[in-house]
Amino acid sequence: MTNLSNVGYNWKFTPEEIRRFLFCLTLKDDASANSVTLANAALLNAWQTLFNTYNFADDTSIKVVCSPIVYGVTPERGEDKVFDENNYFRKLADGDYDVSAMLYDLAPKQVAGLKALQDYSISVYLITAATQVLGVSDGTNLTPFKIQNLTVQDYGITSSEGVSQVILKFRLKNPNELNDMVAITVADADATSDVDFFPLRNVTGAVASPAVTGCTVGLTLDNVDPNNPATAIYLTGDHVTYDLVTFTDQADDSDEVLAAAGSISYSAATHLHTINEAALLTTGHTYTLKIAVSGYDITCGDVVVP
Amino acid sequence: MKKLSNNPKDWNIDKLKSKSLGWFKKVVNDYSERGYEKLTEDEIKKLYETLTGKKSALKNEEVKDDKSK
Repeated sequence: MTNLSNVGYNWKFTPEEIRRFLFCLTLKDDASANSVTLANAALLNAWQTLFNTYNFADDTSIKVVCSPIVYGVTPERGEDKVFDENNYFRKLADGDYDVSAMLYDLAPKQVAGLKALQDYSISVYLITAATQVLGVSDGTNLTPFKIQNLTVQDYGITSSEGVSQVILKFRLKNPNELNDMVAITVADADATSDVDFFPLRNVTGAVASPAVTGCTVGLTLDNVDPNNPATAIYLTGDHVTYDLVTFTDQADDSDEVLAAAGSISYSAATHLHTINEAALLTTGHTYTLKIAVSGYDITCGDVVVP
Repeated sequence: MKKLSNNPKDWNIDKLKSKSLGWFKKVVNDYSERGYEKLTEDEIKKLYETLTGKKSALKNEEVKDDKSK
């Protein structure tokens, strides 16, 4: 029996303009689609946990990368692709759906970081000015919109007529995903806050003096202030507390953690963190030093205990 | 001179519970060389028992023994 589909109720769905993009890999390493539960999508903590997917995480493919604030987000709909010849008219495909946005006054390395996303098969959640996350719902999970192509311009120089600006543009892979779009409000979050929605900053950890009691590690940010490129920036003792440090034995993946605050100290003079605790590590073993500081992606050298 | 906290929240309690009092003494003595207060043997023992709750567990056992009598 033939039946027409129901059009349904008009809920007047009118989210505010887009303020940020949250990018993630379309597929995780286990080949399933990246998504968050509808419940977690409403929690800023759950998003921040995904932002804080460090390089040493068990599964880095769940990482969500937060864009700086974007302005003037403009959707551009192409015409549907049709075959039209002598009154023969047939729809072949939906038209392309492109989204472009302006980013102003970025640091050059931020632009480089965004450009690097061009090389991945990624998807995007949209964050509105009212701090709603826009994505695709299947009733249980919120899935990001799949991106077919992402393009990011190179850093733009400020002129007498305009500020430094970069255009970011992407084409949706499946524009019909827009028909399953939902909006979930993130509680107690502000879309324009760089504290709520933060990108990770790369940090290099230089390990020295390995011993069974620990080691020293100097933590230096990879991207310096472009206004003072010769000045190194260090991650200080305010950031690195004892409960964020783990030594993972590369032989058997067992973890060694610190007992209390006294097991780590920081010297402002040398910029070194000294980890020192009785019988912490084992002679002859090699460890991966993992330091999980929110907002910083710290990559340390191996700790080879003599 | 920094004071050693007796609040379990300031310690990795799971680790402390898995280690002996002898190990704890070494750790606390090391801390005293890095600006923390120096504790006596008894104070270290008391802190260890406060943090891990091992003494209270012992007390419960004693109470049980009393009842069984």
